Amino acid sequence: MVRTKWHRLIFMILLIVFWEGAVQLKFYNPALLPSISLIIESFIKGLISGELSRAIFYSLLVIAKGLSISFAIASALVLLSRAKAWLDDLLTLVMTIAHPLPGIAILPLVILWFGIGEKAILFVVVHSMLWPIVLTLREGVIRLHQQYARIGTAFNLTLKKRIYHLYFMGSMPSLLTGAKMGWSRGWRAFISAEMVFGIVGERSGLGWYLFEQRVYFDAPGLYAGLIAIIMCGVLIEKVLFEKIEKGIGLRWS
Amino acid sequence: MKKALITVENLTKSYGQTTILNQVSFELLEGEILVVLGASGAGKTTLLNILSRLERDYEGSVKYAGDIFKDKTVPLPVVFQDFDQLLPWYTVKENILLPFERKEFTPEDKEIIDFLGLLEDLQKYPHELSGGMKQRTAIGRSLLSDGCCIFMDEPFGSLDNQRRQQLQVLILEINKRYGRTILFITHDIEEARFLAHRIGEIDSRGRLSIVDKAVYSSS
Repeated sequence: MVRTKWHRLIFMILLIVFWEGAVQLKFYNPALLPSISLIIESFIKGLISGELSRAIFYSLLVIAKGLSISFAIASALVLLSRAKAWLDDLLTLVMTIAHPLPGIAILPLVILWFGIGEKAILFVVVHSMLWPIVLTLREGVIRLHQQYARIGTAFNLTLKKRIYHLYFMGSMPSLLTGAKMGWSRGWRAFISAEMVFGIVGERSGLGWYLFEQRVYFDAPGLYAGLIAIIMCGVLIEKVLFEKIEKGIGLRWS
Repeated sequence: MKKALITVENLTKSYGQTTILNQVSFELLEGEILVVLGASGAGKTTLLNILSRLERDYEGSVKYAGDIFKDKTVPLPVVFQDFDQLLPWYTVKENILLPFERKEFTPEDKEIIDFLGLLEDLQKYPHELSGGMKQRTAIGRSLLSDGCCIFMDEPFGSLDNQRRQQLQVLILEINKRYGRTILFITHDIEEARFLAHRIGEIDSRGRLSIVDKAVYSSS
């Protein structure tokens, strides 16, 4: 474990050394490959001026909204699908159709429906997140039903108790797996939607930030935006999800 | 003459063309431990599921003594063989109280929990317990339930000999101390001889014959 961390550190140092070396030796056009100090300066300036920090905040807000909506819809769909076999079959069919469709692929159509703005972005984000969450949640609930349904029957638990104690609490690992898959898909869809199609509402996120830096040909700003995207990803994946995973890992095993 | 808590008459259960239980008739008497023996797939669990009302599709009649069950539609508590009967995300206390509305133990509950030796482990999660303690937890949940019957489906099948013997003694004490009637399923003849007041055996034709323990031991 410690050895792995040393490798990572050495890799990062080497990357910085090569980067700075290439810049100092004018190996590549400095307008396209700015020095690390310029990138850091742009990053800090962006945070202080609020331009970058607002974009980060708004991006995370959209993702949080998307996740909440996706969880609510996924829970309702999975609950419905457990009520009747034909509903489950219908859900499987819809998943088969919708799951492979990348969010960005439906964006042109969504723009026609909702126009350019937050609604369109949220729709694409929810579409990207929803299906992996439904998939893992459905599998989790089926497994829970096979394993624990007889407890509910043997002790005559009310429907409310069954849904909460058996299925909701028991689905935590599935919800987490779904959240991890959904978050990464939704995050990519969100950045792409803002960046490629340039759709923004009253507020804008990191995709639009990158879009603007490209328009103004601000290379340090572009790299600063990329660093912000990477940092958000690492923070959510490595800090938030891993912490939750550790918390529930043993208890739900 | 002991009172019959459950009277079974001509009970037949089939899965497709296969008859698992064939014209089974017997009485489960108040305060007894009736152990049902049989080979794997003989229909022991099916019989237990029908009597505990987990399975309701059968032919024949199963009658319950009127004054012993508060609600005749409610299934009766079952202790299963495997450890999946405890929810891993809840503590021992939460698992025991799961079927009830109360969030804390009553003094009577505490007495039972103490008797089962679970007082020290109430805040532990199932993965922190030995197999024996997991079964004690499941037994505790059944003991706290209403009704005077407990159904046990090979509850010690996954335990080592030492823990199995400890829990067998515990079952006898539960029967004596709390007067609970117990229907116990096993394929272990020694276990049946140790626990039972009467022993039933399901044969390959799905027939159940019940004999007194002494008769069974000498046969």
